[in-house]
Amino acid sequence: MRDKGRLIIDRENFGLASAEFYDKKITLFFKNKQWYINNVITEFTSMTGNCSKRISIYELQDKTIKLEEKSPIMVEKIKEFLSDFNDEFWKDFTHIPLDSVYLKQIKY
Amino acid sequence: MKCILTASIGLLLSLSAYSQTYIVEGSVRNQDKEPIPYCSVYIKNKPQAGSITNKDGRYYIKSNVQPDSIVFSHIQYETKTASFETHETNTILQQKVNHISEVSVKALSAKGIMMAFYKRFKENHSIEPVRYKAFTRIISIHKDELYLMEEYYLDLYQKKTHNTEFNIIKCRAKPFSKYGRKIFKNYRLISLSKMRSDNIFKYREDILVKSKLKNYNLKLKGYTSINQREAYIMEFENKKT
Repeated sequence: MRDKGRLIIDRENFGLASAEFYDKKITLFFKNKQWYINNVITEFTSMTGNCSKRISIYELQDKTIKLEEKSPIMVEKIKEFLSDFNDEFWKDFTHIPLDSVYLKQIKY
Repeated sequence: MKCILTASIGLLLSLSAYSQTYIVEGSVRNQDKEPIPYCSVYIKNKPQAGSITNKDGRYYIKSNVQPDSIVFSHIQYETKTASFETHETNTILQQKVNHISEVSVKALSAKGIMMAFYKRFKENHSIEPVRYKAFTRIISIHKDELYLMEEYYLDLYQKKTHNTEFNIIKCRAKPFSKYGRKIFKNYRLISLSKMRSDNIFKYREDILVKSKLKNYNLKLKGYTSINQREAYIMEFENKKT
């Protein structure tokens, strides 16, 4: 593991605007005198060679009331999605379109 | 032919409005017509409503606020603002010049910048509680082959004193190979727990901890702008690595 990277630090208030670590890149945005998460990209390769890539985009909400978790979702099983895996599924949500390199693999 | 091709693969910015919903979609490319991945794209009058481009340079934003203009920001390219009114159809970003050139005259040293960062860290980043909506995609690859893809739209509650709490609004997951189907049989949503480390105040990398600064070599590489704010570019490396 190489503990090296890059920090982008705001010149006005010295907040962290973006950071690149060995397995993660995080970008923040400034609002109401504070810095909030904007997006996160991670890539992790296990000892067995399996690689996990995550990309997340965040949208700050005005409300701050506590979220009541509906259930302990981390231990839940997930059902297989049986329809075509395309972007249409997310048309009502801000999302990141599927990369063409994966769309090719999904189709075959 | 090349011009026609260039025009056809250039930015496609389409905006549609119905029931107070606005869809902003298109693609971002550089001056050589190559897609720019991971470019921040957001609505100027609602900067929290944004996304980033995929590897093909494409993005998709849904907003319930009418956009005034769309901002495209990438650390290696000049920021560009496209007017909503003129429906700009060709967003090409120009590469920044000397964006990581060595800084010869510094008002502040690299260490001075970091000390100012630590001093204001709580003020800048101690945000709690905070609610986010988040879209996340997790791609799992085995021997260069995609075997599982998961996508979630989440409601998140973040606080520094406990782990981020999640509710799933919508999701899907699908295995794409024999290996993937084998893994998927007993698959749980535990993969989402990795998102907890996105809370940099609670899960702070060593370089973000003042007492550990002595373990690092630091270099001020230059200046840049990101999301329309001026910033320092700092590089760090652990002395032991």
